[in-house]
Amino acid sequence: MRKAFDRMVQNVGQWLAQEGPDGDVVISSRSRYARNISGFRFVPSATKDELETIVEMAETAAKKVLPSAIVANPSTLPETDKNMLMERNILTRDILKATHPTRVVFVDDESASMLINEEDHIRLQVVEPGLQPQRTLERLNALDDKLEEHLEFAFSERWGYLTACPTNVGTGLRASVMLHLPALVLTRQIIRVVEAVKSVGLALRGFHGEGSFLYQSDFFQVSNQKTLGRSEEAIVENITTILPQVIDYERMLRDQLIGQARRKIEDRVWRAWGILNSSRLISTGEALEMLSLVRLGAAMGLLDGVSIKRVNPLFVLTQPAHIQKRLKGKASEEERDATRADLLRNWFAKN
Amino acid sequence: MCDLCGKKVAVIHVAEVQEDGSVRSVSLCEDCARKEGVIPGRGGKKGAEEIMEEAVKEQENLPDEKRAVTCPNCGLTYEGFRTRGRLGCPNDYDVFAEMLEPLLEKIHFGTKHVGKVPKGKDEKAMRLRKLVELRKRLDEAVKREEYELAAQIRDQIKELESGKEQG
Repeated sequence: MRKAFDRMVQNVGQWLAQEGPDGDVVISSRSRYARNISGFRFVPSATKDELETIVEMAETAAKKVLPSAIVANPSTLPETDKNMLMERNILTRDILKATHPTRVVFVDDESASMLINEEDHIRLQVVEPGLQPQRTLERLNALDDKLEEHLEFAFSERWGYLTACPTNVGTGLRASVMLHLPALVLTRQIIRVVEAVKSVGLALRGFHGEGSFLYQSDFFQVSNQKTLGRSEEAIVENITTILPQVIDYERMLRDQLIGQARRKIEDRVWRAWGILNSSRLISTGEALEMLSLVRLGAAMGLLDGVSIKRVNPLFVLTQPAHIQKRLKGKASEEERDATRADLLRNWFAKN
Repeated sequence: MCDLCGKKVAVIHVAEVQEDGSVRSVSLCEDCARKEGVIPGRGGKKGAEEIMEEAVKEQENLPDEKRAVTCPNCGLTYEGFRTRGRLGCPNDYDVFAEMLEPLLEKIHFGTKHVGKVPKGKDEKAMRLRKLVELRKRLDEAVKREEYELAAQIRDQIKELESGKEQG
């Protein structure tokens, strides 16, 4: 297990390492189910004993369904490892805050993971690169079916799958897509998109999901909010009919920027490239901003020989905990910024 | 720094392509961006959690005997749920059904589950609901002129209907 964490400073999950469908605009698609084991109280009301039994049952089932998965106890993980898993979207802030028994289960390529005793007994998650929400749902259903061979989930014909929070009841499904929308942000049109997306009942969040400031970066996560009263397929369909319009809008604006302000855009992209390849100290925020511009340049073919695939992993690898892991032991902010700058220069020199 | 107030850290960088093709860029802090209408204020569409919190608040006039309804299984009262926003056990959904129903109606598409059923559960009622939903989706797909999707939905309807004869 220690090796898996050591490897994380160099490798990212397949959802980020590969370029999926519509990869010029879409980073990844993610679907999760909230499930609870029948015969137990929900996490907020359960006793420690109950939660321990749930951990045992869910962990046993998880090992059968995901035989190659790594199982870890978040409360005994080193701080840096915990934060790395959060930066990789495997762990959530909520489960890190928990003082009761919890577990995290994930396969090495991060295509599937499971949280035990977060807000619900089980949160099962599947991720794919690019725009493929339907495929994530199919894979999620297959895993869920297998889990049901080993566990009985709390379910009622009237309300569907029963969850601790009424906002998740029914399908328990949250389907989300992570988008890179620099042209929409640059041209202010993002505001219209945010309103349009919200008006069809979808939620929009920033880079780090729930609670993160929406306009912190050029990355946006679109997901369904409603889980009861429509089938899983219909929920995903709602997303797949709206998103192509957003994606096309972003592409049209990229073309327009090239048509009307080519020099300015090239200048921004190449300056960003210059900073990433020559800075000796760089903060997380500046790295993210520059990487976004370089990704845009790669997608538009402005940077010779630089592909999206080459840029993508850096969005995770330059995050604070990933840099901290390289340093081992306590490090000052300046040391972290130096390590980040070195990583970026070496990455582009080698890859 | 924010170009407008010059006090707070700029978090939004806006560029506009002018008519002559030049680009003008402005950096704004969150507060100024909101004032200038660059980002929507708090008045916009709300998230599911917020909708639920509001709906719970609206039940201010709920009589005491309904607040005191207690789940025999986990011991949570409805008032307890209102305070913490989380239920105690699966049984709560039935015990608090009368009070929960209006909340669920505001949060979701409806108050009846349509969709996946664990294997071995009675699937008949679910199948009927699913058929109704499929027909609605078929209508919508045809209206949007998404004929490929419409054909797929038609196949699913056929499949479900043939299942009905067997079961």
